[in-house]
Amino acid sequence: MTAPGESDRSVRDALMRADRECRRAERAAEFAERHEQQAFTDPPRLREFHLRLAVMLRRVETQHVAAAKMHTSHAVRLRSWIDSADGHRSMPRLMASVAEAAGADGAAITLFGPGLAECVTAVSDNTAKAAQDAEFTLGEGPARDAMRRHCAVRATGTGLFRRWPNYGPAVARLGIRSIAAIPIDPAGVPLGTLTLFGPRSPTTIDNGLRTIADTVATMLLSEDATFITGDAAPTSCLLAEADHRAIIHQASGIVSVACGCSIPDALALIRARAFADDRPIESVASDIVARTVRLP
Amino acid sequence: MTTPPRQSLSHAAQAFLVGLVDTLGADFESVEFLSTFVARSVVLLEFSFAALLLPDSHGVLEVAAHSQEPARNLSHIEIASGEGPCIDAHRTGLACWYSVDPALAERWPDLADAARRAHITTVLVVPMRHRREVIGVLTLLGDRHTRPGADTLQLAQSLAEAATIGLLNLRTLRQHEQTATHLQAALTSRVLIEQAKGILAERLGVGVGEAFALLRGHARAHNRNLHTVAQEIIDGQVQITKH
Repeated sequence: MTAPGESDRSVRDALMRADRECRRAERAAEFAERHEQQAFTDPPRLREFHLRLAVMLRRVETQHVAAAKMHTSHAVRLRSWIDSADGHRSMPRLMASVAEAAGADGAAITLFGPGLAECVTAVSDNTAKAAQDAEFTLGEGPARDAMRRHCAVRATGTGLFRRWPNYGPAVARLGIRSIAAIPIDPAGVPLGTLTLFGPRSPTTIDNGLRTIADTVATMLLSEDATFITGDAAPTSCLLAEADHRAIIHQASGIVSVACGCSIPDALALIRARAFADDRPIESVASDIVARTVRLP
Repeated sequence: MTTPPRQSLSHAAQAFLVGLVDTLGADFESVEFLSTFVARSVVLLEFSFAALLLPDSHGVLEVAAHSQEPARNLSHIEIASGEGPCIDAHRTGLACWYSVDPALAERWPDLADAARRAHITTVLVVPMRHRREVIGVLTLLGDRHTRPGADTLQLAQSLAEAATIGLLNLRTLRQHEQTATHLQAALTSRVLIEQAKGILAERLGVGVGEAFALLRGHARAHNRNLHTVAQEIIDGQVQITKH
């Protein structure tokens, strides 16, 4: 439940972020224009220099425009959600606007810790959440593949089944027909993956999608992202709505003691139980933490 | 207008300028970047020595890169005395050319003396500008006796501009790298703390909430980092009891 004052504040925050991105885009465009003009007015030997600069600045502009669009669309969604006063619908997520910008039905971000341990996930909607859970439970899927191989991954139709024998059928049951996953690696630091469900052009990873991934990467590192170790909450607009899978890591700790095994082995046991019972891993973990289920 | 040797340089100049722009995302150290830049500027602009001066956190210029000793020496004399062509350019944001005799000698005789000893006859300073801010100064020292042509000035300014962009890109890149690394560490630490909570809860037969209180209490009592204590619990190196 979100208090009314808090909702209004999130609309204001989103609009403020959109405005800031717009100004950054304008500034980049202004510089780009100057170099585009200089490409013709300066001596010919400087032409390529100016053109290259202009191209770089236009790329920066595109990224800020994309971010501005996401924040604006998020503000609009929030506004209409507040006005509709429909308590049954959950609060719109910024990730829904990321999906929209990417031209996909849904989107998810997965951030990984050491040893491909999934530590954060943010999703656009319940289908994306279910797909993320399936990947986490089964230990196979597009996010880990893109992360492990440092390159974009895509699959569509029966390709989903061929590529991921367990995950493919699971997401097909959710109505997902195609998937694209792009690494998020700001400044070359591999943090995780942006996964798109039902992307408009499932067979190609074009510049548009790369721009979205770069924009998301920048958002994760934006200046309002003050991330403090311990129990303080993250405040980056994307991380604020993320799920830290805390309960699963707690359950891994419990099972590792109960079974006298390592944490990765404990996680594997929880996964196996969720798979065998055909239940979401989070719900199994939650029962373990509540001590209503014991492993092995 | 263009003499044959300059013509042959133009391709090199172009390639170098383009290369500077492309530093974003490249595996570049800023020291290496600046040294390469200074060395190439000397060749392209046909000067003898060059130095690049950047302000420190207090806004005082210091030598960030130089090609050969005389360039460093002259810059140090200027910085120590607190006045000279680079300091002027840093303040005004304007490029300026001086002949050592008489222009430089009239205003800064000590600097002119040092220049003469190194057989320097001409000094060109070009500010590195970003929006309204001057982020550094490129100084070029030569042994010719004529004012540099419009062509050279323009190339010098483009070089300074490209170096500015390259440098700012590098700074952004480093900053992103640092934030990304911090984020990764914070995420990892969070996972460890959750796992340690579970381990403690199971060992002591308490809820995860109480386990966290014990974990935090232990960290505070021993003046240790929560993350470190969590790691030790996972590794079985520390025992925490209920009281």
